[in-house]
Parts: sequence; C-alpha cells; structure tokens
Amino acid sequence: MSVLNESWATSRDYPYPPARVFAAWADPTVKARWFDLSDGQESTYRGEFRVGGRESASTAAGTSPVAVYEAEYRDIVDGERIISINEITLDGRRASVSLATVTFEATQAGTHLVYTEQGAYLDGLDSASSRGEGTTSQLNRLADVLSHKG
Amino acid sequence: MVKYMLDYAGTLDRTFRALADPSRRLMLERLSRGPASVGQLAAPLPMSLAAVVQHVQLLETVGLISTTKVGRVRTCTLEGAPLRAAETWLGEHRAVWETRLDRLDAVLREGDQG
Repeated sequence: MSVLNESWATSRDYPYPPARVFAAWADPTVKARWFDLSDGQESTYRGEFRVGGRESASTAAGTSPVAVYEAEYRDIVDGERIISINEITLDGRRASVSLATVTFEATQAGTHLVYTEQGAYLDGLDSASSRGEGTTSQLNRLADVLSHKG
Repeated sequence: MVKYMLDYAGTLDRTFRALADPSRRLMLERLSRGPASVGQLAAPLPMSLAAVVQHVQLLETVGLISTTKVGRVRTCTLEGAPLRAAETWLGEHRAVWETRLDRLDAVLREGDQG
C-alpha cells in the first residue's frame, strides 16, 4: 500500500455576498442540496455547524462502492473561513484523510470561494491492483462516479 | 516552491478535466485495448471528425496519449503506466467537488426565485 500526499485547490466566483454563500455551507438543510450527489429521496447528509461539530453523509447501500464521508469542523470564522478534517471510506476501506479549507472573499461581483484540500489519498483499495485489474477498469470506475452512479 | 506546486496543480487540473469528458474516456478505454487511428476512435462517437481531432489533441497535450502520423493516418497510443488506485480515487474525488461547487451555484440561484 502507498500513500499519495497531495494538495489541490479549486475556486468559483458566485454573484452573491459572502454571507449568503457562507450560509449555504453552514445550514445543513441547504448544504445537503448541493453536497449530496446521490439524488436520493432523502439526503443522508447530517451536519452540526460549530467547532467540534461533526458531519456525515453516505451513498445508498446498493451503490458500488458505498462511500461514507465523516468530518469534524475545526475552525469557523463567520462569513470568511471553514476548516475541517475529513475522512472518506469506500466499501469500508479508508480512502482519504484530509484537511479541507474553504475561504470566502468579498469581490466586486460577489464572492470568490476557494476550496483547498490537503490530504493523504490512500491505495487502501488495493484489491484492484492486487487482482491485476488495469487501466480499463479504473477508467470505468471513474466513469461511474462521474456520472453519479456511485 | 509555490510556483512548482502551482505548475503541478495545473497539470493535475488539466488531466482531471481531460478525464471528466465521457467521449474522451471512451477513447481512452478503446486505446487501453491497443493503438488506434483517429478514424477508428471516431467511428463509435456521435460527433464530427473535427471534434474527435480536438479531443485527441487535448489528450496528447496532457500526456494521456501520444500520436504519430504516417502518411495521412494518425495513430494514437495510450501513454504512461496504469493509474494508481490512489491517483484514480483523487481524480474522482476532485471531480465530485467540481460538481458540488457547480450545484452550489444552482442552489444559490434557486434561493433567488419565489
């Protein structure tokens, strides 16, 4: 098994003030609507927005792989910054442990949001490599997740 | 150090965006079974040859494939070692976050209506 330590970031510009965008992260009912990609009847997303508060979400039992997300908020600056520690397991195996930082910056057009993740991404899903599955199956798995089947 | 990280992050971004397109994934899947000409890659795809050529150029630019031209035929070959599980997972994970941030935009806009 190996560990991939990576930092990556992505950003968006939203035409709304930071307080509005921040609220969509802080209110669990609102967050569930954009965070939970499973599009099931009822979202599994739960969150308690305070330092020390936890989040959880999972894909439905029948999906493959079953993905479970758990996180703890470690730093919250209202309207400006959220830092949490996240863990994701796939079919019960830990796939990543990471630090997620979200910043909300006021701009002329609204809000510049930056999502940064610094994580340990794990080869714990070693069943694929140990069975000798190659690029094709990995690309198929990628395709399934990107089309939200997973 | 920061410039290196930004350059590396840019390469990863381009690779992930390259993988995010279903037609390009179909092409890569075909190439994982062996080299193919651009015409052979285009055959099952519902788009113009010119569009396929653009996809091929993008895949070559990010290093996922290499191509050689002999006469009028351009042959494409899958490049590089198979993706490690962690790298594949990271690619999926980043794509998930791109989707979430797009959905956040839609949720914010819905909040405007009614």
